[in-house]
Amino acid sequence: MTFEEFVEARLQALLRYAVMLTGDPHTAQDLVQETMIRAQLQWRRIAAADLPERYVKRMLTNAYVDLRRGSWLRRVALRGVDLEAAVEPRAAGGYVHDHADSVVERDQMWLWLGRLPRRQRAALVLRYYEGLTDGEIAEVFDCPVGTVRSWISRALTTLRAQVAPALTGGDAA
Amino acid sequence: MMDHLLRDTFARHEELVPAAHPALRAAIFSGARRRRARRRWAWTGLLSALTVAAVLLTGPIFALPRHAAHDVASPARPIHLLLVGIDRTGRDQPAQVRANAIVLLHIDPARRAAYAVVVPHDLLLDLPGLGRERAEGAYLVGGYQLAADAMTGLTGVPLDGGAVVDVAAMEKITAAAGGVDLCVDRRVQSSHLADDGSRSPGYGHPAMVYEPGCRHFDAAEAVDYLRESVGSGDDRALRGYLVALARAASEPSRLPAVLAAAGSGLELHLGASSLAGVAGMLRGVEPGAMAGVRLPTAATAESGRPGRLPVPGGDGLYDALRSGKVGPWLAAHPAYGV
Repeated sequence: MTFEEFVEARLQALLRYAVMLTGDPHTAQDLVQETMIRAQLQWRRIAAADLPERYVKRMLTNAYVDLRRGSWLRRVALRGVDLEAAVEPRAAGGYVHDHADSVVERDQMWLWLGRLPRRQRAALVLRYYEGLTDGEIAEVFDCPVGTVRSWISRALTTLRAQVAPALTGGDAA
Repeated sequence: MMDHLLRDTFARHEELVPAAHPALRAAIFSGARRRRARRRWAWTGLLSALTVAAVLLTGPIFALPRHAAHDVASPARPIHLLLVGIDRTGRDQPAQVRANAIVLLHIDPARRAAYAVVVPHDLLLDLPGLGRERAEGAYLVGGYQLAADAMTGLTGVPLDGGAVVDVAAMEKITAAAGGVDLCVDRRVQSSHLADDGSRSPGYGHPAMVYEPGCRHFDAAEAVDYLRESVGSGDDRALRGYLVALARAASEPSRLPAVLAAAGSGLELHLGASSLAGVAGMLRGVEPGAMAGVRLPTAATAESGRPGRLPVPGGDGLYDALRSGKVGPWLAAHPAYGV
């Protein structure tokens, strides 16, 4: 598979994944752009791997986890702050005919996802959005499966404590 | 319950996903072309600290006054030091620091030559009790010692010592030397510093740009410039920095501060040798004469563990290291020159 074919086939999927990680389309595009530039530079090696997409996803995940203050992606952090403001109008405008209250609460979930440590959020996205097994997630992070499970369990505990009571009327199960 | 909520939340936010616009594709292809033109070999990673690490150990050592080393006899055999570069910045858990740069430094006092063998961070090594792991992971799991054991196991080269260097230490040492005078041959744009010297390029603060020409660099600028240049495969900047640091540090009024910064900033693993002893062995080597060598590797298609495998015998490099014949080996294998 050539790099061009890979871009054709997988760019949209990678953008989706990046949006779920970062919560923000602009940051997601920056992240995908940077990762794909790097991927092209080492494409021969990536293409030799069994699952080139998994390899690129791993690069993208690492780039996301490594976003630091003061780096070229500092604007990421700044945009992240806007997230809170962004939730409000969508909840009020887009879903008025749906169960408005519960949608607002569910967008709380999105908001709290954005506040999780990055590895925890990435692990949740890989498990619940990308549908990877814990073993596959561990390969993405190059760490033991137990570590992945502990990130996910800590993330779920946080989300249950912050979001679930509001949704389930206090039943945090 | 939570499973369902999470799946639902992610699915509903797919509406945020932008279309893969042609402009994005264009940016990817042109970005890669630009960088490839600057690179002699195409693996990225954080090479920044890599041969840079060599500077940190050798810079202050070169700066030692010669009389400090007069009583140390030059050994006939080459010596080997392992340098592990790490970047702790921004890590929430110090326990999860990987080595992003590993360099085997080969110093041959008899031939007045030094070579920096660059080990790819994704080199797959067989680690005692752990199976096949990446070189960067060896440091993560077992610290300097495991990384050193793994390299000795691979190459058969006995190590005389080594050091762990972090970007912050590099900056401290340069600051103690009072900054350095560097000559830039090619325009380099910083990804870490803004043009007013603050640490945050972003809106309203364009990134620092290093224009061609010679000038004085303060420590933050020098280290940043070096990370950018070495990261793009340019080791001339590194050699320039090495010479400049040695010159700045050998200023008698600066030397004590530089040695103190090196002593506190570097995690030294010199074993039986002392800093002065190593300095003695380094004595005839011109800092600017250090050459870079890429460790021979092959890509692996092994499932689940992308990385590189070492080539058996290192294509002759390991023998050359042990017998002190790296110069002729490199002449016969120019493709491995950095």
